[in-house]
Amino acid sequence: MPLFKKETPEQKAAREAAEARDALSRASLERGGLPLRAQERLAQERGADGRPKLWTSDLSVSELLASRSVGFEPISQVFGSSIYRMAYAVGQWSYGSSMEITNFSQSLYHARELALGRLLQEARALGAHGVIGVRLEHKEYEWGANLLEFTAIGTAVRLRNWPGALPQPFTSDLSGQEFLKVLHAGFVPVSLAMGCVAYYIYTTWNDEYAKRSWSNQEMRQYTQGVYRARHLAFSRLEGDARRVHADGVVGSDIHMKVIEVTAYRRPPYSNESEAIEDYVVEFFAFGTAIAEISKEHQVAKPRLVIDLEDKPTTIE
Amino acid sequence: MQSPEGPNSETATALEGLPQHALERLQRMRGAPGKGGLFTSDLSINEFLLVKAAGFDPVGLVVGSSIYHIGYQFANMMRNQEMDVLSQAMYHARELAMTRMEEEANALGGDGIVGVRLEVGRYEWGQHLAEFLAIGTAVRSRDGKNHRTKHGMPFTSDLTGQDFYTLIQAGYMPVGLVMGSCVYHVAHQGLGQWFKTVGNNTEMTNYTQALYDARELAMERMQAEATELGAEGIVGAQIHEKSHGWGSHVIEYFAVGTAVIQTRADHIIQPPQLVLTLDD
Repeated sequence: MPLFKKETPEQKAAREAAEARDALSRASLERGGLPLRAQERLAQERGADGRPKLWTSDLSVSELLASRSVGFEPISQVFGSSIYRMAYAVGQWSYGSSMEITNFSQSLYHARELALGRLLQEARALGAHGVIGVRLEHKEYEWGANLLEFTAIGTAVRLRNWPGALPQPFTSDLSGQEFLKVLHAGFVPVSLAMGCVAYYIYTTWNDEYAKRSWSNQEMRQYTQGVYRARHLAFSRLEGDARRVHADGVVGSDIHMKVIEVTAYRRPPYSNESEAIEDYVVEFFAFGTAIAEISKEHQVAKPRLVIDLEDKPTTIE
Repeated sequence: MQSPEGPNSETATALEGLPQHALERLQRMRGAPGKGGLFTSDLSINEFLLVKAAGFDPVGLVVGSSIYHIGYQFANMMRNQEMDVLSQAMYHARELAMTRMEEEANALGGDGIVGVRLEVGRYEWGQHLAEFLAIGTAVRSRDGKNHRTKHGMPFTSDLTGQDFYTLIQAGYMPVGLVMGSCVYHVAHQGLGQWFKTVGNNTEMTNYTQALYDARELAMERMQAEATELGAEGIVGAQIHEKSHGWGSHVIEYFAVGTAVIQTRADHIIQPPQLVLTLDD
């Protein structure tokens, strides 16, 4: 294709139309909404009588049948994404002690909330009663420094024999089989609950000397910092669950990431600044908040079997 | 939405013939009067048993391959856009590999193919060359009924033997491995935007929009394929993301799943029981 060919009026019109659409999509995203393309796909999928014309799901066959056996049908794979700029601008910080980096914690939460919010909007547009098997992921791309994409992906489901609508579909990261077990045990999933914390751990000179020494000892400041951050993450997760009046959280999972930060500080015995390693720990806790619907939590006695399932293999 | 290249396009059928060696191998495997055939498969023992229990016999490992030259497309640095030349190449090459695999299964008298894997390999021959490979196990039904798709070709699916068995028990039948591909160019950030966002932690809506669009296009195309096959739904849909050496700003989203139809209206399975597996 020649690089400097002038575009024809038709090409120009097509390009401008595409750009106008992109601008509309971005405006919708800025309001926390869905891009046009997603809105259109959802409108196409939704049949006239509220039942889907073609359902899609990322459930495995067993998950599909397990969720069907408790009355839920898949409607569509639903998805939400948000690309967020996250940079630890180290120079800005002049902390004299270990503490939470509050605005960063909020960003970590907000980015996931945006992705999850879009997933819920997709589900609501399809008239779903809930979303199961939600996976929250984040990844970095080569092309953008400090950019993180947060994605939420799951399968929207609907109760087969109940035409009503829920004001807010439930979300859960339970697989189809786990969903069945939870329902059988007298609980319903309500919502995903999350807690995010970014915590700055300040290395004092005592810590630095301890690191340089030959004797074994606990790094108390570090232990304390990690403890405190984990505690904060879990209490936020709890807060999320309490807000939706849940009775408990299952399958909670916690991820920790440590980022090294080099700071320059003057040691007590000299006038020259020295490099010293501080740390930022990020905690992300999440799980499914569940509520009790029946007081009987009878679980049938398991049968012993030898199964025909192969050991899971990884694809690609 | 249409796929960049329809499943039944001229080009897809014009090249689908198999090499001579493949035909000979398939001929030998079918056997002749007085001389039994032989089947090969990449099924595990458990899968083999379950495919048998579902009423199907494996007839042979089938392969389709296509070495494809992927063209070039100029992308405006500052624009989010689909690279339709590349999308079409990725789609057409997979389609060719799939069609050849189906031809092999057809030559073996198979009714379908289970456990299909689609792979893309690169060699050192050239930057723009890639091998697209489809591989799976052809199976033939013992009940003699027609299990083929509405185009008269064997059904395809990426389901394991276990999943295949379970699906059939529940009154569904796979009809086809359906896929959608979208290669997308993500715009570089403009200076104005850089000034707006530097120093803030905030959402980058232009990037979100680009990747969102690309995924939606891939999913839309996969759904269009399923609708075309008259499917009722898609199970096990997955979205893969890869940059096949086009530079970091050009990304392929590839959606793939197995389209299913129902063979009976109720899909009631026996109430699941809790079990404790004795395997280690």
